[in-house]
Amino acid sequence: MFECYGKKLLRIDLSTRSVSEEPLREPFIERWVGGMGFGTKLFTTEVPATADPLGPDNTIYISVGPLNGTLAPLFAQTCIVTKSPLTGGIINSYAGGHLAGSLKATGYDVIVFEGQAEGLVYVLVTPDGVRIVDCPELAGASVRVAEAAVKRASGRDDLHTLGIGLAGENRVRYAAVISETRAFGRGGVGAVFGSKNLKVVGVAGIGDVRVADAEGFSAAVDAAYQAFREDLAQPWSLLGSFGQVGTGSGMGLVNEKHALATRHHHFSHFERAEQISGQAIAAQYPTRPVACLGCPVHCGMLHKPVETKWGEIWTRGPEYETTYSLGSLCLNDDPEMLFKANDQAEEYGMDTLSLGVSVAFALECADRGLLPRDALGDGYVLEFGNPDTTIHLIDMIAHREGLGDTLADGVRRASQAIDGGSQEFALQVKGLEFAAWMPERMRGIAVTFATSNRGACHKRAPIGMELMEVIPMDGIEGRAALVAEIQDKVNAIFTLVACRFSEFVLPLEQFVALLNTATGLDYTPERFMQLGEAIWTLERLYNLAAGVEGDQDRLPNICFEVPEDFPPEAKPLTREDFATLLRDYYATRGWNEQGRPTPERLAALGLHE
Amino acid sequence: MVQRLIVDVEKCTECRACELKCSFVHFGLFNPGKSGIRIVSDWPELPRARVCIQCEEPACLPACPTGALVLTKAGVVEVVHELCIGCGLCVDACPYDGIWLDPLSDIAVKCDTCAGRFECVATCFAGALSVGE
Repeated sequence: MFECYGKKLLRIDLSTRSVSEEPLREPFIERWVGGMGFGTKLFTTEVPATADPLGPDNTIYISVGPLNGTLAPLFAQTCIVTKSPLTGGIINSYAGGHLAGSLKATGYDVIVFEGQAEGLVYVLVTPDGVRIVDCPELAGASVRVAEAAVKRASGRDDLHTLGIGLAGENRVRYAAVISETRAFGRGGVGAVFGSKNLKVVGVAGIGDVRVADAEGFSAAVDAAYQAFREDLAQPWSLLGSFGQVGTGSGMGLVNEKHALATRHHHFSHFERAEQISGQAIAAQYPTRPVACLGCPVHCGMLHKPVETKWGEIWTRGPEYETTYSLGSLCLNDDPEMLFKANDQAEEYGMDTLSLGVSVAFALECADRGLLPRDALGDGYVLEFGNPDTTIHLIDMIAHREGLGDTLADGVRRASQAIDGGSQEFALQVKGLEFAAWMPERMRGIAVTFATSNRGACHKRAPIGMELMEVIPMDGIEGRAALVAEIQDKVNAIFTLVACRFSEFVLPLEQFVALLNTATGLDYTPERFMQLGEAIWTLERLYNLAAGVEGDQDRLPNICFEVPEDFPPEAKPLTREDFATLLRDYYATRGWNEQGRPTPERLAALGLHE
Repeated sequence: MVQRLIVDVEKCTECRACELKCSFVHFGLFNPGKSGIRIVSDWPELPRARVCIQCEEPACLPACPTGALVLTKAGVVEVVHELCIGCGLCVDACPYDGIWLDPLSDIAVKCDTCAGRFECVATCFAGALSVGE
């Protein structure tokens, strides 16, 4: 059993520069499986609820799971768990690419970073051992430059990296960790790296990845391949369209359904959306699909160098969520501006979602007279639909200059600083900025944004079902229970560590078959779902202790206003409906009216406070 | 002519499922280092594929001092793992970058066509792999 684990953890204390290995015990592995399970259990056990997210008491857990590095399709994600400098609660953040396979092959299931280095360092984990290397020369370097420098210095062409740019060093609270153009985007994990003076981590694993039951695993992989083959062959396949033009392929549909957040949620439809859709960008600019390890979907779009007014850019992306946050939300319709903004976000290392929402917040404040139009100086006008302003403001945020310094703390803190009623429209929950969906339109999104432990995150929502109208977008009957079920399921598959898209195709039973044949464990679908619930509950308990309480399961007031172009047949979100949804959600979860898990529910999950 | 694996790098998505499949077929585990095909990324340019072209007069064969390389009836050079001492002389001898050492075990690794089954081809969703001469 447990052949597919290294069964050990690597702990690196950056303050003392000490490195140690710890065994991962079999009962721990069986209980928490991997990825999000390992990260959440270790984090909630070890990091005090009072820890400053940007202080030495916070800890970073980088983990892989049982299916990483195998042929099982869509299991190429790496998980980072830490305390978010945006929310003050726990955050789990993911990136795909080719990092997870290499990390898995090092033999470490988890790498832990504690403390704070005195100066900027990079860390190498290779067959030659662990090295902590001072790198003052990389201060301020872009992610791409830093990754290349570390790779060169390591002398290994098999090194895979994750690292931060200037934004992480400057503790921009939504700084991302970038791994070879893939982003651990949400929650500010890059700022935590920055607070530890951790610039880049390079891993080179050369080990064998084994499975418990090779024959059974092979059959489970074949079945998964078959499921993807069948899905991708359908003309309507969403994943198929992702593979053709990228994740931006759905923009037309979202726009048609009046669910595309536009001009800071004043509108639900962007009349120039077709200029920045995946189809339009792929048609206009030379692109080719690139995939994460072993992935048949290949949703990453790699662009050849494009000459723009901001210089030559080659980039991978932009992803759908970026075309919302820096596109429709800011009323930007220029694909080349999106290339540039995407490139800035990657080189500085920032979450394009929180970044775009922060820019849009400033534009909205200017519209409402809370900021002067010329607040940026240098002739830049704070107004929607002005690409140059957006590009300039992104630079200011990464450098923490002027208004950029305020916006670098995220819209919750920025709205407290700017005040003037701006808290009412700041697009955030628990301090995390909105992802690309409209609670005004979709009730599953309303519940998900309000209740996610990460804040206003879309990763665990019935988006496809609502958009395709399998269920009515504005229906509330059973919606909270559906969201809770999806939350549990996604948490469970994030232990493996799966890409979110895998769940579009694979039924729960196939995840469990892959897990069991790889590990030798004997999970049932029910037990697997309960694992997801237990992880969610651990996160919730931690957040409660950290002061992220039930009163933060809310939406900003702007979500209860009716967008100007709302279709007549669409039902606006009412406070009554939202209260019902939240009540249903707590009841489904077995939580009390304050959103606190009851002792009975904790006992049923085998968790004890 | 000996059948060999053809890689169309213009179609390749760099997912490297072929590498995982190859190591699984030959060793029953997953390790790109043990794969007889390697995909090397070079963004934003196209990737480079490393794979044996099954040449008619393989330079690797006579370079092996232990008899760990054998020529099959089909004209394919195979590695006998038990006999390989990891000296790397075959790697130096090959002018086509078609054979290398697994960094973990130091065993020579190359494409042996899976006895003509070319099992990686079916894993390639992008259709970048085919069999030719």
